Amino acid sequence: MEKETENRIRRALEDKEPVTEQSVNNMILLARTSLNGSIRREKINFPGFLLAQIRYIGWKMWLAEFVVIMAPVFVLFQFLRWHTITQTTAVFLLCCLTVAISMLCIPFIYRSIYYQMWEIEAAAFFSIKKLLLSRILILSAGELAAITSVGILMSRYTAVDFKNSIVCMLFLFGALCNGLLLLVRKTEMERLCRYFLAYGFGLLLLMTLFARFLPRAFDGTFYRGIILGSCVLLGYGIYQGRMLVSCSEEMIYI
Amino acid sequence: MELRIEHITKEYKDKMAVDDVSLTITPGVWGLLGANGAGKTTLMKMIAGIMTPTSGKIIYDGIPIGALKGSYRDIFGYLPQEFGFYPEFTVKDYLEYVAVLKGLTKTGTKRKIAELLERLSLGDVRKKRIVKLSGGMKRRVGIAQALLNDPEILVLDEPTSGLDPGERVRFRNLLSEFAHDRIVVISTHIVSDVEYIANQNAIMKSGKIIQTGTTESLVKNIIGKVWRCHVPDGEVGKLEREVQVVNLRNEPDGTTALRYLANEKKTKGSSLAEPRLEDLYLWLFPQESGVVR
Repeated sequence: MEKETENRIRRALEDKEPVTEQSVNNMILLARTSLNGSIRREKINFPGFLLAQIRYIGWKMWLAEFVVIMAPVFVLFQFLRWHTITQTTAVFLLCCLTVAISMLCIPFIYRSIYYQMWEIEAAAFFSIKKLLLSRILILSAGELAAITSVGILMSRYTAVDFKNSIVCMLFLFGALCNGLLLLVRKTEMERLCRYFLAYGFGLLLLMTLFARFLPRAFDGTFYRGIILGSCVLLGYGIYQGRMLVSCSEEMIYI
Repeated sequence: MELRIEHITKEYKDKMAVDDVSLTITPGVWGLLGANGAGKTTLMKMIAGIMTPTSGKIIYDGIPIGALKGSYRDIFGYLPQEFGFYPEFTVKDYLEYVAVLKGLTKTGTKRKIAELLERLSLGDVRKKRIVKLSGGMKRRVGIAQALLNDPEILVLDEPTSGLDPGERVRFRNLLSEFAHDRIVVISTHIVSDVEYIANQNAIMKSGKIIQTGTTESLVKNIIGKVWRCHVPDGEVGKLEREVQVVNLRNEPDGTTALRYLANEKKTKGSSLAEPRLEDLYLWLFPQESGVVR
């Protein structure tokens, strides 16, 4: 029996008020719900579900992320003077890559609608909400790994401060994830793609403006502020993830 | 076991898709009949828990399905009208994917998939990509995914569209076998699908359930309204304009055998015929045959 249900039954029994038809019905409902939950058949858990998703979609996402990140890095190595890259340029570049990789999630998230799979996915045990969350988690893991690798590579071959690069990238990554989660919850799936693209380009534009007029934003001057902002975004992201799991399927896809 | 639908309504901006529907569904096969746009699919989606009613509730064994959450989905199987698949999936991949979504364990999945492939005659195509299968086979894959978790409630939206007559018969037999002690709801506008296997029928029109009951009790409503006759070929057109013709067949002697619906007989040689569910359906939905009584 769930702890919450147990507490509710305990409170109902301790109630000094006279027993009414309504309170008896509520008690029966609680007991039934609890019993029904306890006879659930054997199931895999969410981590198991998440791992299974890697087989179906994860490796494709990671492959796409790898291609997107390696292409500019290859260009940099081949045609630019890699060793002369400055702190501001390096962080700006990492931030641009973060946005570009996040944009990759659009086809993977839109997939269920495009191939008319969402109804079957929505009616299944794990439901479309957890499926969507698992896709966002897999994509985020790939994004973090890819960007960190490039960050490490840069700090090794250039004079770039790795810590500052990572913090800036995490902040932007948080902003992107929160934007995506908000859009998934609040807009129709068909509009989500357009809105998220617009959001991504908006962030890119904003960064370009910062790089042009306030380059100090990338060189570690606001290091602590950016850490604080990242923590706030992380907290908001966790809150949004929980909201996503508790909202109705209809809210997500229709 | 019972699924109770209590005063359910679904309202869109400009349309009432489901209008104050109440129904108690008990174990057995239930046929949900209605013309296109009657609200069947919306009702199915609400039963599946993927659409929230504007008002009213759906209660399974005394508990609203919203409160049951995972445990309701655990015992639920659903085949939507528009059945999709990812193009890279083979039949086996697809069933494994849905099994993961349904939270089945690896051992359970393997056994169940083998069993379903066998029962639905999909064994030979298990390694074939779904995109390359015929419409009927795709539908069978859809039915297989709905049965994967051994559901206690099975909801099938237009399950037989695209199936050939042989497949249709096999499907009916499979369902009849499966429905023992379980709830099976089939939404369709193909009357013959439910005529033979449904224990109970519910007929929907303009978002409302207008009639419920067994096939025998429903067809009683049109006793004395179904006629058959033979008319010369030249008179068929005239009769078609006056009454609702259920079917007609050209005879070798230059006449046409007709079955039609009317409150009273329209030709001299007409005699009353035994009513069927299809007759009732056309009586209730005259626009389906293009005739307005």
